[in-house]
Amino acid sequence: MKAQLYLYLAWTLASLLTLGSFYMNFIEHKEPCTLCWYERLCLFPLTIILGVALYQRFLGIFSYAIAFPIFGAAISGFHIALQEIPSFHPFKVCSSAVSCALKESIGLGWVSPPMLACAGSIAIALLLCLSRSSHRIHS
Amino acid sequence: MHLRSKVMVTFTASLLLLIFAFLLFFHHTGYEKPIPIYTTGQPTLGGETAKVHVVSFEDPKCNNCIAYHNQDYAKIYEHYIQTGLIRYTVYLVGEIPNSNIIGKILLCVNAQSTPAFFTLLSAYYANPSLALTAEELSSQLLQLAADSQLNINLETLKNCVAHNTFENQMVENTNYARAIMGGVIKTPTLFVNGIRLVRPSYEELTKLIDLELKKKG
Repeated sequence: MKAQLYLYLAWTLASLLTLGSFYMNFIEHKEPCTLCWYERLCLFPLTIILGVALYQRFLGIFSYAIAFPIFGAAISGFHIALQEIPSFHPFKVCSSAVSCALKESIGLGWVSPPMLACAGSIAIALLLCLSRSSHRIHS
Repeated sequence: MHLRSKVMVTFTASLLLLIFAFLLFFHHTGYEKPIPIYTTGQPTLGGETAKVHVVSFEDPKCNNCIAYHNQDYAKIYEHYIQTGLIRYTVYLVGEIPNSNIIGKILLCVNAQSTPAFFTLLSAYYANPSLALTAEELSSQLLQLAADSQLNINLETLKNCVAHNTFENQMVENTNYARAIMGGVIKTPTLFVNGIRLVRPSYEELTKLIDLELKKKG
């Protein structure tokens, strides 16, 4: 039961983050940078696969899903470093049209989109780990 | 138990989709009431007699402003400004760190020639500087002005920049933008005859311009 609850929380979080990025794109008309697209690439599939797993009550989804939040957290961590550390420009990843290094306000004070993505990815990874350990204990 | 899981997923997914659909619908219903925008002294292109005035609030370091200018401005210029249908004003604001450095230099250029201002603005947006210090940014932009053959006096420009002639103007612009946007500056925000559009797509912007052109005959 607990495993299912953790999975449900992970899926809800992934869905909220997905809708948040749609909101910024379609309603706020914010142009995503290249790294933002890679962060989305790690987030959007989770909304589908965790939702289907939960619907079918397939609690062994951990091994299929865990790579997404880990890569998502790594990419957004790199993105945060690009924005916060002035001398950190190891290689060129973004086009000149939309720079990855410029920090944009989303109306949440100092919180930027990659910070939200990073925190969300870590939380989803933790919830997936909790779901797996609960599933193992009870099976 | 299995059924409860299905109900949970279906209910949550429907709820989230409904919230999103509501936001989307709420966002697209109608325009705000027009407000007067004071543009005296701001760089403006287009005929005095044009019936539609578009004012674009831009922060030179904002990603969306860069994308808007690179993707849509050229089309707006070709179809509406060059043809004399609209007047177009750029209101530079300095909300992001170092934006005011770029703004001050651009306004110095505008003091000599408005077409040169728009040429330099496009040249800057086409290759926005990622320089981190104010000095680097300033020298990069002055170099860009020299390379862009703007037909302005470069010594006068350097003096203008050195004396921080438009520093107060940038502060006033930013405060004005904050005041008319209800305390939070969102860029690019465009006003079409005073009607606000926040980060509009090209289609949304031209739809309102066409509507205003039709209204004004």
